Parts: sequence; C-alpha cells; structure tokens
Amino acid sequence: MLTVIGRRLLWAAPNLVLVTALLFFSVASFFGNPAALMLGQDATPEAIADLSHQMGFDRPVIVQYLSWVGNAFAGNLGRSYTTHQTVAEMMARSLPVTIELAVLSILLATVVSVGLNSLTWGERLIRPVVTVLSIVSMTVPNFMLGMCAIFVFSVYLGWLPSVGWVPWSRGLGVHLEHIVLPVVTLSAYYFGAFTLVYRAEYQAVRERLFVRVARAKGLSAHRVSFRHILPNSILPVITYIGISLGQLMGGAVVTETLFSMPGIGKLFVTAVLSRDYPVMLAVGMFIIVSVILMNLLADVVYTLINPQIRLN
Amino acid sequence: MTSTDIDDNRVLSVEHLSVSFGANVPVAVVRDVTFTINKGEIVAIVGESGCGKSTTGLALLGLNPDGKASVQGAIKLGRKGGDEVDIVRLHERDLQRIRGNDAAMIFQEPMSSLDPLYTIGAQIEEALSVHRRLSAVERTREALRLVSILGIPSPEKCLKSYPHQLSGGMRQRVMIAIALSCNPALLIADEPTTALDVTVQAQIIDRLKQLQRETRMAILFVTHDLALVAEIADRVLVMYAGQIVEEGPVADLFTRPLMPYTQALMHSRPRLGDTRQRVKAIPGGAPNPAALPTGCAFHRRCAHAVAGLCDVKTPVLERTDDGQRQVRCLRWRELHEDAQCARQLQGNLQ
Amino acid sequence: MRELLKRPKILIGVAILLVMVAISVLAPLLAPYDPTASSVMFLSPPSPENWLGTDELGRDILSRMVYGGQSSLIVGIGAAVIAAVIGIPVGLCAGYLGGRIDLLATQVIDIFIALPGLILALIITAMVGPTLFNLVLVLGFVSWPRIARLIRGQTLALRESVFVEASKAVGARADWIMLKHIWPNTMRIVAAQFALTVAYSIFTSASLSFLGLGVPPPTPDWGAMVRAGFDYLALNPGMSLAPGAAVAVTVFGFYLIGTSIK
Repeated sequence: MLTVIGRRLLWAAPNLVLVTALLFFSVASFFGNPAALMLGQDATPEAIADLSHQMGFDRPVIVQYLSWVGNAFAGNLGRSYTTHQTVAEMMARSLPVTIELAVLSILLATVVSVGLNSLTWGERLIRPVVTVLSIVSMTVPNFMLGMCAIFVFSVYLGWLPSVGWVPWSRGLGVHLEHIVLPVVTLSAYYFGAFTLVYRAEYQAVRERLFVRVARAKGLSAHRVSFRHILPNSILPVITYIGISLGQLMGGAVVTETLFSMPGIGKLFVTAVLSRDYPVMLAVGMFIIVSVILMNLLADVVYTLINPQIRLN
Repeated sequence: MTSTDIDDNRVLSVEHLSVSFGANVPVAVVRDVTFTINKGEIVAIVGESGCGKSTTGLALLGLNPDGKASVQGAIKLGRKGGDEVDIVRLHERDLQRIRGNDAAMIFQEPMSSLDPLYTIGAQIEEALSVHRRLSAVERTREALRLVSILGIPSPEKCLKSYPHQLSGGMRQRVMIAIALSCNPALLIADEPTTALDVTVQAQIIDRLKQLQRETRMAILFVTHDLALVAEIADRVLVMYAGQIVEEGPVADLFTRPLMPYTQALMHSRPRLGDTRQRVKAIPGGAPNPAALPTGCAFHRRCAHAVAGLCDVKTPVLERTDDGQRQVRCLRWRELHEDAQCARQLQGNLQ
Repeated sequence: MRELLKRPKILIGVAILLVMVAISVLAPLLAPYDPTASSVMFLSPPSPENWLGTDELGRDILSRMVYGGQSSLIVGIGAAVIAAVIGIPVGLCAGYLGGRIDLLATQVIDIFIALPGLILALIITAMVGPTLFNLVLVLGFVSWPRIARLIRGQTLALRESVFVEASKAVGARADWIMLKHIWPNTMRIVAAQFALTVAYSIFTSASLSFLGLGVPPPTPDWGAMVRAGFDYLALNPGMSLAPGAAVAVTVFGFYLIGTSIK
C-alpha cells in the first residue's frame, strides 16, 4: 500500500513543477519588468536597467524561476513592494486565519449536512426544505449570502459583528462571536454540495440488505440511520472534503474580503490589486501548491479508508 | 385453520392480506391471503418467483417499503406475553418492539445481509441489546453461545471477524443466530438456503430443524424448492399470482396434489432415476400482476383448462370434505374423482 | 426534446432565462434613467422617483440594475461559448484518438480542474486587465477543462459501442465517425454542461467584480454594485441586496436548466 502512495506522490511531482513554472513564467512575462513600476514614470532607461540588474530581473526567466524556488525552500520569499515587510512574515501571519476559517467551515458543513440528512430522511415534510436549502446555498454567490447574513444579523438585529476576526487574546467568546458569520457563509456552499453527494450514497446504501436486516432486528429508524447507513455512506463525503479543502481558497478569498479578515485570501487580492508582485507570486504559488497537495492527500486518504482497497 | 385449532395454540393468523404497489395504478402483488400458523409448526409457502411469497413474508413484520406498498387485511401475531396484535394496524414504534423479539426474519442473500463495517460479535450483540436486558459481559457470552449452537467452528474468532472474512454458509448461520437471539415465537425464513451450496444447505437445514425441536419455535419457510419443503415442513401453502391456490399437510399434498398448478410443480422437478428425457417445465410464464388473466389466473397454462369455464369464472378457495385441505380450482373435484386420471398422475409422481 | 420541456424544473429555468434576457435586451426601454448619469441626489433611499434609491454618485439604482444584466449575460454566455469552443474539440480528440494525445490532454485537464477557478481568474485578469472582452476569455479559459473532460468521457464510452464498430466495418473515416455518430449523442450532455458553465461564469464574474476586478466603471455591473453598496448597507440595503439577488436568480435559472437536462 505504501507503494500506491509512493506512486501517487511521484505522479504529483511533475504536475507541481509544471504548474508552478507555468504560473511563474506567465506572471513574470506579463508583469514584465517590475523595476519600471517601482521607479515610476520618470525613470530613465539606465536607472531601470540598473535596478533590474540589481534585482536580477534581467536574467532569463528559467533562472529567475529556479532561484525563486531555491529561495523559497530556504524561507526567503522576497519583500512586499507595498508594505516592505518580508513576504514570509506576512504569510505566516495570515495563514492561521485562513486555516481556522477553512477548517471550521468544512466541519460545520459536514456535521450539518450529514447529520441533517441522516436525521430527516424519512420526514416527508422536512426533506424538501433541506433540498431547497442545499440548492439555494450552492447557487447564491457567497458574497450575496454573506451580505444577507451581515444585513440580518449585524445591521438589522445587531446580534453579531460584521468584522470576521479578532485575535484569540481577546477571549474565546469574543473570537467565536466574530467568526460565526464568515464560517457560516463559507460553509454554505459545501453544505449544499455535501448534501448532494451524501444523499446519493445514502439512497444506495439504504436499499442494501443489511439495512433491512437491521430493521428486522427491531432497531429504531434513527439507530439504523446513524449506526448502519451513515458509516457506509460517508466515504464519498470524505473524498469530497479532501477535494474541497483545495477549492476552499476560492471561497475564502471572497469571504475574507467581505468580512475584512486578515487571511491569505485577502492578502492575495490586495496584492493583485496593488500589483505587489512578490506577494502575489508567493501567495499564488502557495495556493496552487497546497491545492495540488490537498488533492493528493484526499486521494491517499480515500485509498486508506476504502475498506475494499485496504483489505485486499 | 383446521377444526381442531384452539386460539391460544395459534401464533400467527393472517386474514385477507393484500399488498399493492404503485400509487397511481396500484398493482396487487398479494391478493386476499388467509392462513394460520400454530405454535411449533413449520409451514412452507411455495411458488414460482414473483408469486408474492416474499412480499407476504415481509408484510408479517411490516417491512414492506414504506411509501410504496399499501397493506390491507389483518396480520394477528400472538406475542410472547400472551396478547395479540395486528401488525397491519401497528405504528412503526410498536413494530420495532415486535421485530426480532416476538417474530424474527432471515433473508436470502448471506453475502450482503451483514454490515461490512462491524464485527460479527458487534452485530449479534446489537440484536441482543434491543430486546434483552443483559450486561455487556453477559451479551458477549450469549453471542458466543448463539454462535456455537449454530455450529460455527472457533466461535471466539468468529465474533471478532468481519463479515467479508466469513463464507456464505457461515454468514447465514450468523444471520440465524441473530434472528434467534431474542427467542422469537415465529421465525420467517425467506429462501435462506437458495444462495448456498447443496452441502452447506443441508447442514444449515439440519441445524435449523434441531433448534426448532428444542425451542418449539414456529417457522414460516418461504421457498421455491419442493425437496426442501418435503424435508422440513409440516404444512404447505402453494401460492400462485398472489393467491393461495392449495394448502394441506405436506405428505398428503405431495402424494395427492389437487390443484393442477401443484401437480405441474411436482412434475417439473428433475429427479434421480427419472426415465424421462426432458424435464417437464410448465408452459408459459408467471402472469404479470398488473395484467392478470380473466377467470382463473392459471388457466392459460393449465393442462385441464376448459374454455368457457376456467377463463370466465374466478375460483375461490374451497375446503375438502375432511377439512384438512384447501384448493382453488373450478374443476378439482371432477379431476380428483376421475379415478383413472388421479392414479395415473400418482404413478407419474412416484 | 418535447418531453423535456414539460418538466417544471426546466420551465422555471427557461422562464427565468427569458425574463433576464428580455430585461437586458429591452434595457433602454425599461430603465427610467440613464444608468451612468450621476446627480447630486446621492444615497437617497427608495422613493417614487427612484424605486431602489440612488447610489453614491447619485445614479438611479434600478436603471443600473436593469442594464447590469447585459454585462453579466454577455460574460456568462460568452465564457461558456469559449469554453465549449476549446473544450469540445480537445475532449473529442482526446477521447477518440487516445494514446499519447489523450494522456497529455488528461494531465492538462486534471491540473486545471484542481485549481480554484476564482484564483486562476484573479491572476489572469490582473495580468491582462479587466475589460468585458478579457473577462469573457478568462472565464472561458477557466471553464474549458470541465467540458473537455465530460466530452472525453462520452467519446470514450461511445467509441467502444457497437454502432461505431459497424461504421468502421463499412469503411468510414475516423473523423466522419466522430461527427456523424458521436456528436448527436453527446449534445444533450453538452447542453447541460453549457448551462452550468454559464451559471458558474456569472457567479465567478460577479465575485471578481465584487473583489474589484470586474468590468470597469462606469458600466453598470451587478457584482460591482454589490461592492459599492456594502458600505451603505445600513442606509439603503437594497443597494447591495438587489443586484446580489439578481445574480442569484440568474445563476439559479441556468443551474436549473443545466441540472434538469441530464
């Protein structure tokens, strides 16, 4: 089985290199010479050439790429043009925020989706409500969902704040109070997606003989649902979680912007809008690498959990 | 329903049971079925696939798919405490008290009847935990005992195993163990050995007979295997197109089948030492419950059908003079009293 | 085809679609004011003159809403067209020709599908600059892999099936087979995916606008309107919620069509 994992890793490596190289080359060629940007409109060609040489922008792109990668492994990701802090520092500060947001959102989506659908399968009145909810949560853009949430809970009712992040030092309760709305907003889409995936599997498992046998034992419907159907239906959801962790970056970008959270997503958007090349490059690379690694992880976990593969 | 029946000797009384599927145009898969089972009795229901015998079995525990099946009639089950309940009228919560407890069921497919994610021990103990008050230690001991009396070698190892590690025969024994775990008064067996090897089948049937002798449990055996019926049953019900078409004690029915369908069934079994070249299959196929023939449901395939009678008039279930048998055929008396025909058929059967 | 149209889901989806298209096309007739005309009456709440109020530059929100559908639909449908134009041939070739071409195509497709579309779109839009035309291209580029993968799967399945064998036996050429036999069977799947791509593109372009990388002002655009209205949520919630709802309804309409054609 280790060979299976090993083989997957081997396959992923060229992908990683290819994509990061692609990204680097395209950003490098499009942004051309950042030296010109940095020095402004009136810079003389000599000054630009000088700075370029100093910063290494006149080297061939491949060399620039390799040197960037080398530096990255050493922990040097450059320095932001706008804030002049090291990119590494900025990312180290933003990453925990995004991770917390992502993990809590996936957790919430999973628990609510799996729990709600396992609980209400037989309820003829509640099921359509859950269906509608899941469709709405997948089609309404999350900035709209977030906006409505802010409007209802912050502006209208005044129960919750509209800024998504306060440091843990301010206290657990306060921290949670602030992070509730962004987590609910981000998890909404996944609630819908997980519901679709889970229901399909649940329906299939429900028809299997051992479920009927469980009922014939005299078990209550809920016991059958949670003890027998759920564990056998959860595998596709887990696989989907793996894939989602990578995709979450896209959703996090919007959520973090909406709720003014100092995470990786907001960092990235700010860098893009202000042409902060080093930050944009580093964060972009990071996002892409982590997406690929997450998918790989999902693959491996699937292989581990799937009893048929495991026990063969 | 013999005349010597006393009420508290009865464990099950099914009265005019009908099960239909489909919301818009309901199709009756079981039609007006009435029979009883007494304590300690083994009754077999035989018929071809699609005759409604499995559906009947499922209905006895209220296990027909909820929104899709409509059940009418009465299924009166005698509970262990002495009182009687009507399964058809019960709510799901009350049904859960009955299932596995007063009546239990075993199914046909051993390969998919156990949850692949739990050990055998866990699944047997789960059954025990529903209806019996035992401590955890007692449960494990009881699970061990159940598995042993079903004849499973190395019982401790079995309890710790997962379903995929056991053979089909083993899994079926586990199934029976689960069914017997709460000492039901009635066991409904839906083709439990059809998917197994002949040798394994024999072992399991022997074990089942032995257990039945010890516990005096009633069994309703649903099957299409006539040899099995001859071996295990006290009484036989023959079903065709959702109805009971013949009923009686097993020996009598086998030697003197009164309904042409039953006769044809007997004929169609290949047997050792048979001098005929071909097995006599019943011509035609089982009727579509949504489009039943007029008159007698069997007339199109019956060797004795008479035009103008069998395709027009619908036969009812009649009782024979001695009260032991029931037949659903318009011509049964005529056919039976024709001594020549009867003896010739008998000759062919033996 | 006809039985398809009878199903309620499709009817609702098509109805929404038609209404949106009608509003966008008839915008000049429907909008009470010029959407780009600013005035001194900024941030006024809903009133009989301005049913949804005015924005921070005094422009009538309702008019901007009505015109806003134009860019959303152009981007959405345009992107789906681009995605199809790229994705279908790639998928067909990969599926039918197999071998190394297939391997290469699958690798590329897998890489792109794994990446979050919004991130990719952000990067590329930042590089090429946000204009209507560029947005169509970028979002089309982001969506082509999914269509390609779908077509490839269909082609692979159909390649094995009997009637292609029969055609080959008669001596037909490879590309004739592709066109005549494989295409009609996959049209349904393509149509469904097309609708879903439109939905996704409108969704993503609205998100891009919300982040600040959408169609540049003064062109009215729903996502940008949501962003602008965010600061004034307490004052005039409709300023954000109305265009947001417009996006949601439009996406929903295409989603319905896409999920019920299958």
